[in-house]
Amino acid sequence: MNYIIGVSTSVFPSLDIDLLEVIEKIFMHGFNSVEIICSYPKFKPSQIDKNLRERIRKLAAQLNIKLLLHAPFYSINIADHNREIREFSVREIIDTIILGHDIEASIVTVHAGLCFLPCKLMYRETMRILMDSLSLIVETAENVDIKLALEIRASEFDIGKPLELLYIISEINSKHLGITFDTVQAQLLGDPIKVYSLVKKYCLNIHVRDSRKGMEEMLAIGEGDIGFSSLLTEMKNNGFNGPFILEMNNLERAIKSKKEILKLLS
Amino acid sequence: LRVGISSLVAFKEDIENVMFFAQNNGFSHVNIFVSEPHFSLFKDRTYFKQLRRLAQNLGLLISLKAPAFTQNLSSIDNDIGRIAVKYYERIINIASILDSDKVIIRAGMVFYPEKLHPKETFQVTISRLIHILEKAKDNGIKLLIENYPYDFDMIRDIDDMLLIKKYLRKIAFAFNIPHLFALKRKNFDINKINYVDVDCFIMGPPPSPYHVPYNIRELENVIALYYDVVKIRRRELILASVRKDLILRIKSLISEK
Repeated sequence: MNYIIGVSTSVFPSLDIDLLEVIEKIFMHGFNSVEIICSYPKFKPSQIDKNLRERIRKLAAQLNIKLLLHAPFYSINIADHNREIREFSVREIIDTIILGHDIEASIVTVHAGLCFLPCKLMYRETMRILMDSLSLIVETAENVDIKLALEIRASEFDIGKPLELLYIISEINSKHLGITFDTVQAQLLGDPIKVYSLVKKYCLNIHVRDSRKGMEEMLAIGEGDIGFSSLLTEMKNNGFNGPFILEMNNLERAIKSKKEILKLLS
Repeated sequence: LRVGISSLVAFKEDIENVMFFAQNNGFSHVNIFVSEPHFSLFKDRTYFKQLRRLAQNLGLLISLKAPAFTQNLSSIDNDIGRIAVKYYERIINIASILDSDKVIIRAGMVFYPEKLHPKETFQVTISRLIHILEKAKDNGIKLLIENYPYDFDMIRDIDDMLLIKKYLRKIAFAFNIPHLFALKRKNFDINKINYVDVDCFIMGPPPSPYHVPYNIRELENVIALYYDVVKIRRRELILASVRKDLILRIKSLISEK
């Protein structure tokens, strides 16, 4: 089986990267996909001009690299009770979807929202706000035929627990909305296999990284405590062939993990 | 010693209820936690004037606390920074209509992109703070920075306050005791508080009055820390919690001592 195995631009931690060079570099290392973290200062979607979009699209097509985007998430909250913050956040994500359309990316990973005091005290109202924001975002995704994947998040300040995501997906009811499963976030929530079982039906994208229990690290497969052998078998049995996005903190770890993942999936 | 109360205590009620609760329980001032549903920035001027009149009739002072859960003065993304500045400017305008003497803000948060650009982050934070300070001064309002305990926060402890004071000589602080406690630092020198302009103390349940669920078991230790601090500095106290019972309990524990 041909697997889609890529890297996140997190493997270039300086964020000071030339995307065209990144695409060439990951191609040379035998990856067939890249997930671009859309973050200021260098890769804020609204600041990527037409010319660069076209060059990224052409190069990725030429090298047969599948592009994915991770929408901005620093100081972004589509479930915020403050209207200005919320509208800005929605706009940033819509800009990411438009960028995705222009460069022919297939999936945009999004954080469902943050849950601070107003959310904790008025959870229902927060979910209503979130649904309103997401409806706008999903409508744009549908219009340009891009899949949106809400990422599993374990922190108490995040909306993104498996049951929350399942609820959101059932409420929004769009074929363009699914889930990004993150192995470390899943371990923070408990047993990664159990978490995967809950969400596997909607899984569009997997963030692969390892970590010690209770920590949120970006280690290579085998350096932490996640039982990848059984987890990847479960994914394979579910017919999932990627994208497996290696979300490590350097390229060496991603290269090492790619070998390991292919071994475990074979 | 003046003791005020945060309007958090009636987060889902009308702000007027907090005023009556404050008066009935002997508080001298209400610190309005600027958040819907109980307080909206988008009401008209008449509403704010009515609120000011009510406070005056009840003999209460008003101040504002501008929560910044997502607003980030330290962001190196100019769009994000601009939203934060605009937000604080609007709150200062409202504070002025309410005849409030102070506005409490959060200095900023340093996330991954900011950590990669520490100089730029510090510069934009200072320049935005100078702008907001000017605006506050023009409106006769004292701007206070509150300390937060999280790793990404710009102002966490007295050393951070001393550092920022080098660049903003007139800056004052709202010193949050449970936030200081949450840092779990054993060997910090509390006497350094003498070198910063502390306008008021904020007391509430740990880990933070703005973070539920609370860890009530640690409450007495937080009060003990407050007493260590208050031996050095005596300032107005603001009690903050979403629970009325806790506010009254803290008030009573402090009064007993």
